[in-house]
Amino acid sequence: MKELYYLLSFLLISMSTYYFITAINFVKRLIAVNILGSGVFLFFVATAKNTPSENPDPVPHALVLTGIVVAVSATALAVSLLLHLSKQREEE
Amino acid sequence: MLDIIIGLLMLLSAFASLQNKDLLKSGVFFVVFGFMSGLLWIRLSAPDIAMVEIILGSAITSILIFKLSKGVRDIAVKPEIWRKLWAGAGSLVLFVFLTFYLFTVREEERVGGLVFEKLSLSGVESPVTAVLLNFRGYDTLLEVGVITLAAIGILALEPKRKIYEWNDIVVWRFSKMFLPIIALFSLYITYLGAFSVGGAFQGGSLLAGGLAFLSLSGQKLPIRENPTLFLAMLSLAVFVAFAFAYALVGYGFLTYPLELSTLSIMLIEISICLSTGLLLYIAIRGRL
Amino acid sequence: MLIEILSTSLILIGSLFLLIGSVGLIRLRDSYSRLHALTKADMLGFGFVVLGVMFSVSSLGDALKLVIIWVFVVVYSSIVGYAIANSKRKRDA
Repeated sequence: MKELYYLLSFLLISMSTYYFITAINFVKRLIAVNILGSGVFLFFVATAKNTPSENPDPVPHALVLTGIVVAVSATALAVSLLLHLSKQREEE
Repeated sequence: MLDIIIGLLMLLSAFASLQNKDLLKSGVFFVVFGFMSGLLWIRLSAPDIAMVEIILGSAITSILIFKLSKGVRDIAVKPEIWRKLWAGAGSLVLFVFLTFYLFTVREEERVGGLVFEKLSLSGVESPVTAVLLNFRGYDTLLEVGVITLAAIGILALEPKRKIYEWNDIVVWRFSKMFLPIIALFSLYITYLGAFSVGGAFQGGSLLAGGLAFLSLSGQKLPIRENPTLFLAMLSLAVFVAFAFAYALVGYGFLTYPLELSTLSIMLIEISICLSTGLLLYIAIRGRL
Repeated sequence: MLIEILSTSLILIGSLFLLIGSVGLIRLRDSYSRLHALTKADMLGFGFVVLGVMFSVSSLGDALKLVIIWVFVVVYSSIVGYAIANSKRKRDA
């Protein structure tokens, strides 16, 4: 039963890798990177639940929390850079 | 059974988001994906992560994606067939390579037991907050540094013209009415992180959500630029000041003494809450 | 036992209303009528779900918290419905 979480995480990771390489559009690539991040976080949290005691392991929870905030700020910077880049391409 | 339904919905919405030609529909399916992902965190006994994922990962990321898809011109180029082929082969190899892990999955006690043993020495009662701000405080310090750097980069790339003209007075009035309640509640959730579900980033993301609603009305926060910048950069300053102060006094870099640990954690958490909210507001608006 | 049956049936009625709202979102043609169906049916469905959950909650404080959540969702969904309709009107004219 707990292997299904890992399987879901691997499916998300491989699917978003394919779309990240294939898509030419910026927005699609950004969405693919975010889904890739969510898949990796799912792997972490599934590992955290995989303990014999009934409390889940809090160390992967803290790492995933950090990861989500860093992913959002990196997405914001990427959006800013891509808007600037597309404006420069328009003016050429 | 419920997990299977949530997992299938996650896969379907991720596939629909990535496969769609229209950028707007991709964004909408991405919101659904983020929401299902948040539900899965709750099923996996991680309520702190669920709060942060639904607000930041689903709502705020999709605001940014919609803003980007409004500002760029659509590139109508199809990828060549060899690109699809080697991308497909590569991701298939990756999937098979990762699936080998499924044969070695073991249920073992990792570092979690150590955390629960030393929890009384950390100054807070919630294990996630203890790990986040005491046992692995370096990660949080560098994370605050990363989000501050991202905000500085966004401020440096400030556009000279607006991406969209949006001026909605009803939304502005309502967001002005609700913003004090949201700010109070976010501080309450930050305080609650010491002994229950909550913490600095949950409160900060709640404040960011309220400020995002304000910025969607087209108006900005009625505070002048210098105080806003000061409050936004405050958490990095407070965190680094605490780290160096404890180093100078003699305890070690970012090592709290046992009596002052609760007080230090609470002060650092409040500053992180305020700053994260304001930094994400700057990131959504694109300007100060 | 009776409380369980009551709360489960209320939650089922609420989810039925939410399903009707989503069907309206897919099947109706115009954006305004889609908004109309979605906001009204969603508010009603969410209200029934909250009412159903309120019966299986242990303390009075939690029940009042659920009512406050319902009030906030109603207010915000009406504001968002107005904002979407306003933006569509501005884009069309």
